[in-house]
Order: sequence, then structure tokens, then C-alpha cells
Amino acid sequence: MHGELQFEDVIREHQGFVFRTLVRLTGSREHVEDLAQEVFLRLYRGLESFRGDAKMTTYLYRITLNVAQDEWKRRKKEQSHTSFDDPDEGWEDRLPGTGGDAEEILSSRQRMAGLERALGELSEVERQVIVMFHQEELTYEKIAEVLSLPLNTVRTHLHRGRKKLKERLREGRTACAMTA
Amino acid sequence: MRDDGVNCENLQKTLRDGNEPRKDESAHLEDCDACMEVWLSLALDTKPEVRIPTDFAARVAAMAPRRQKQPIIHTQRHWGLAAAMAVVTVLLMVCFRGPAPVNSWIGPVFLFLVTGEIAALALWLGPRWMRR
Repeated sequence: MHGELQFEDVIREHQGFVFRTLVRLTGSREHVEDLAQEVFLRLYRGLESFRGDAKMTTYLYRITLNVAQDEWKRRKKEQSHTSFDDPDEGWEDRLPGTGGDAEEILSSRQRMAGLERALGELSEVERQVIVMFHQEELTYEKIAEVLSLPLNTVRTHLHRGRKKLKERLREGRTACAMTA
Repeated sequence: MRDDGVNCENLQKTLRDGNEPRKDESAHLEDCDACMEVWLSLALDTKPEVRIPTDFAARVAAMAPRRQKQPIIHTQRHWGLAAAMAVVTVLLMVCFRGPAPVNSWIGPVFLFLVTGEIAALALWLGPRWMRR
């Protein structure tokens, strides 16, 4: 890696992954650009020690997860989970399809907001595994490498995380029905 | 098919096609594990749309501190050390060659070389130590 131009190419190539992962792991689009910038500047500082692209992407994934984790902790401290309290932020942009009437769309939005809330209630590692596996389509092996975990532990976290999500979604629905 | 009248296969197809489930299908979705599994996978697989400024990469690349080339350090060659080692090697070879005759020139030459070497070292290192 030499020069500004090549580094710009690296950013261009990976910026989608970084932005998406940060949005989903922090549960908000707030400050995502600043966080992504922090990720790439940290990557730049560590670039000299990399020769192969595979190692660099693993490092980039790790930095992204660490930055998201720091942000998550910071927000928890401040207790300002704005996106979780506000179902209009985040998930609505990726609702599949456009068909259906207003009530159906609203129901779908509520379900998506519930999923986002449930994701936020998972443990850090479960959330990371779920996002990397589903959203970024990384293999178990790659996730294990990024998180420095055994393969079976990654599988367990994924299974447990999904199970918790379903439970939380059902609990959320019951809570909604009770308050309605 | 459960007793709520919703066909699981049809609902799962609706979800896979990216269409919104009807109200009764939504209610079914939350009770049926297989349908919920499909919805959950689809929801998690969906990549969030993010708006990345077009100049983001250029801006961040410009912010990265420029790497300075490592200064080339010219290390001095240790000619003195090499010469000393060569002389000592020669002397050791001469000394251990075998028993020397009584009136041998080896002794004075050895003494002369060792003295000369010490003097040379003193001349070579002396000024450096003085400068410190």
C-alpha cells in the first residue's frame, strides 16, 4: 500500500461494508460518517504491516466492530438510544417491496422496528455474528477469524442470537397487545 | 396450513417475493415458527441502504497523514575492527603453527603488531571519546 490514491481505492472498495455494518451494529445513522472515517484512519495506521488483502479485510472488519462497539457503549452510557425509540429511523429504508396497504406497511414497519430493538438487546458478540453472517454474507470461517473465536462458538452464537430474536419479537408483540 | 386459514407456503412465497403480508398473515407470522424463521432470515439478510457522500473516500484519504520516507542512515564501515580481527587471526595461526626456533623473529614481530594495534586503536577511538 503506497500513496494516497491507493488508499482512496481501498476506502471506495470497503466503504459500503463499513457504513452498513456501523448502521446496523449501532442501530442508528447518527454520526455514522464520523465513525466510518475513524475506521479508515485506524486502518491506515495499521496498513504497513499488511501484505495480503485477506489479512487487511480481516483487520478492517475487526476495526469496524471495535468502533461500533465503542459507539454502542458510549450511547448506552448516555442512554440515548434514539433509533430504538424511534421506529421511523433506520429500518424503514430497507423494507422489502412496495405492495400492500397502509395498515400492512405499518405492521411491517412495527415488526422491523421490533427486530431492531431486539437486535439491540442481544449480546455484543451475538449481534456481530448475526450481522456478519446475514448482512455481509461472511462464512463461519471468516467470522471465526475476525472475532478470534472457534468455529463452533460462532455457530452457537448465531443459533442463540436468532433464537433470542424470535423470542424477543414474540414478547414484543405480547407487550404491544397488552398496551393496546 | 394452520387453523387460522393462512397457508404457510403461500405466506413464505409472499415474503420471499418482497411483498407485504396481509393483516391475518401478519398475525399468523408471529405464531408460526417456520414463517417467522423465513421472515427473520429475509429481514436480517436485507442490507440497509446507506448514503455515502461521493467525496467520502477522497476526503478521508486526504486526511490520512502522509508517510515520510525513512531517512537513510549511512553506517560507517568498521575498517579498524576488520583489520584488527585479520591481524589477530594471522598472529594466532603463526603462534600455533608449531614449536618456534630459539632465535625466532616471531616474538618481536608479535609484540610489534600488538603494540601497533593498541596504538592505532588509541588514535582511532581517542578523539571520539574526547568529543563526547
